[in-house]
Amino acid sequence: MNESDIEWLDALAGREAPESATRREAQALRAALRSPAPAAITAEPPNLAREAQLIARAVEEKLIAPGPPLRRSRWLLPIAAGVLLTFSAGILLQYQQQSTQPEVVRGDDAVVRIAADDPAALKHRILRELRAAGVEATGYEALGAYGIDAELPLPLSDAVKRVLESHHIPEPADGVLRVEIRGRE
Amino acid sequence: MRACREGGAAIEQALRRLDRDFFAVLYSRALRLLRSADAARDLVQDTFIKVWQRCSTYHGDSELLPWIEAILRRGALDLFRRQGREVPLDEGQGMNAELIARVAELSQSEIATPDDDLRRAQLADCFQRCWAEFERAAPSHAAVISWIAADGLSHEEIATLLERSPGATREFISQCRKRARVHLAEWYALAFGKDAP
Repeated sequence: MNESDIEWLDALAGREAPESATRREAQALRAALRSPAPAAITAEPPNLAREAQLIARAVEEKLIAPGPPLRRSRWLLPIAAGVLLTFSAGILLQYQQQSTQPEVVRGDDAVVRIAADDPAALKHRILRELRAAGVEATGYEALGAYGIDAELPLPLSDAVKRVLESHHIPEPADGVLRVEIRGRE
Repeated sequence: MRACREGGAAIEQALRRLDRDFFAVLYSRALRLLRSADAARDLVQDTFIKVWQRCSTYHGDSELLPWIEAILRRGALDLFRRQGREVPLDEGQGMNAELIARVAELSQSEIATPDDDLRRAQLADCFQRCWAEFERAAPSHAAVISWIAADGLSHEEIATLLERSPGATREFISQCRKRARVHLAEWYALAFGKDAP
């Protein structure tokens, strides 16, 4: 790269360059490349299938991992252990009683999380029912987690409301339904 | 980006947001480079994954889109390298030295300003045709030239993008200019108001 190439680079980049044949050569190329101006890109509606693929890929790449461990202090661990021991028997009893019913929790991130004995079967069932209710729903599976993404037409039809209600899934206000189903631990 | 660093459940939500906010703009850039819808979609998805893998290197002192776009550009250059699509400058280009000298000679004169729509259209058509040929023969060089013109990249920024030493980058830029002169010779002749070489 000689002085002339440096001038060419500067002129092509739109920086000041001395008047010369090199500058004219680069400026002509710059003008041609920048004309016409690229069309403005408008935001597009969410593509849930594409997003699901991205999430699945992120799981494959092990990018989606549990959050950082909580900071523990010396006294916190014994207290937590005591509390755990005190209530463990009660919790176990309660868990055994409820183990046949899926547990549904709507997280802060608007994902409805369900713990079920057979997550694959539940995913297929919900998908089938949503589709029967006229919803285009997408299912996916990644490392033991089963998911359903769907855009529910608003206002929700009675058929869709019945499907959601039968699985204790809260109605999403924005119509975007995201469900994640995992096996019970 | 905060979710990326902290990990946990917020990552999934943030990845979706990334896709919604940036897919359209990155896809259009990728499509222009690769000219294949499938390849462009794959490149954008690879880019989002790399964004996540490299999030700790984003310091928040620059805008997010240019930072993500630089990752997309590096991905495209890697792809071109893997595909081995670059045609060596000297192969089948016996007229190279002559063409390069001719463009240098042509640019001694002032660029002619097109005085009517027909001539402007003729110039634009010629440029598109020559540029498409340039992109096919030397995609990396054509891409870097277009990024320099679009974003005013400096020598250092080009070196970072190419992940090459300053010396190797200088050589690459010099090659960009030579290749542009060869592939765009017909357009240069038309633009500077002379007969094609």
